[in-house]
Amino acid sequence: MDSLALSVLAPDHSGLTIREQPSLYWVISNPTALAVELTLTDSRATEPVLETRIPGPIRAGLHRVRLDDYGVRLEPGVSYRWYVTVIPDAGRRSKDILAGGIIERAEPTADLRDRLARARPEELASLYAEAGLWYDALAVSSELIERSPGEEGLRRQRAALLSQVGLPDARE
Amino acid sequence: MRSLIKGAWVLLTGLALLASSLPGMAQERKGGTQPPAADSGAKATPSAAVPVYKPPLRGAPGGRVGGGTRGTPGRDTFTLSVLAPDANALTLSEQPSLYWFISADISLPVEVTIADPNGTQPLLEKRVPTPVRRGMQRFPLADHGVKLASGIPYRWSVTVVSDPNRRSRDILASGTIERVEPPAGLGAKLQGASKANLAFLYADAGIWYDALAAISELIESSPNDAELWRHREALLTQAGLTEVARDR
Repeated sequence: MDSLALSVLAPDHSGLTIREQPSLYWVISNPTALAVELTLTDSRATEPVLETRIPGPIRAGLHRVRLDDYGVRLEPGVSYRWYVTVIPDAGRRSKDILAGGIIERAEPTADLRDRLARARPEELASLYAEAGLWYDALAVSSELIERSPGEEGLRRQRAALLSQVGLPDARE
Repeated sequence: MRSLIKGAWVLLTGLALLASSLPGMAQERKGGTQPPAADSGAKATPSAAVPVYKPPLRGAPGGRVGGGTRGTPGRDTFTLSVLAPDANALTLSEQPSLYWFISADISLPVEVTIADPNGTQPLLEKRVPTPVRRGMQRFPLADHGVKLASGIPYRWSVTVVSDPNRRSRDILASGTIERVEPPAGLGAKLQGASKANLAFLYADAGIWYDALAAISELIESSPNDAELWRHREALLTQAGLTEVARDR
């Protein structure tokens, strides 16, 4: 098999979100027709909260999983582990290629809620980032890029955010 | 909330953030290209600014891999954690104690391993006497004659061996620990400090392991002092170890 690099856009520690149904982003280096699964597990439970096949074929680049598409909600204060798994051989799951991170929903402080309410859209990523809300910083940054794909400044912002947690830039 | 380690986590967020995080400099930089520090009270975030992520001081897969049995019906399940922060897992001690936690009594073999990232052989590989009672466990390196060299990020693990013939079934939790020289000024402060103050001084300086050890030793000597328990709970919560923090 060709070499396939898979990464989740998550910091190496428990990343935070204030959203009940955040989006999870992941990146794959090559297009693939192999089965790809997404799993979300609650650290307190033995059964996954979500275990779903991502419809293929998968193109190379950045992918977004919206938890609201799956009706999954995060409880505050619980750390969830999430994985993306590429399954080259369903009979030998030891060959799986797996990348994962941890996400935890936190309650925003009143001050933060207030500042978010007053912020302009382009200020949100910085607000979230400085509040330590990694997933939300990434999400708003990515949403701005989706809306204005030609704007280099936005891409630079996201690249900076990614590099701060040791991730390479996620070019589509 | 962040009483114990508030000062520390600002310092811990890394060199790149230092300039924007230090209170004095944050003032000078207000309106510059850096986003304001979280607690500086500044409101303006210039839209051209690059977002600067301030990682919370809490749990992690990179620094810490949490263990847990995966639902085999009928088998006991438990949580295994090493008490380690994800980032900046520091000690000043040559022979610190390592703390770990298990949520249930267990009679399976348990191993503690310390690996030197530069070496091929583990620095230590020891079976822990079993059965292990549920709760927080202490593993003093001094009892095993092991010394940490300065500046090396050792990885330590606790492994529950559920089937010696199928080590792929091991349940493992791990974290890092690095011995550092005391930051300037801390040595003098520590010397004059009361035992009760040590945990705060260490936490403030970002020396997580020593803060935990100091507070845990106090708890051992005064187990009925509820305030000490609250302090340790805060310290653990700040490192993302919420389940351990809630356990008494």
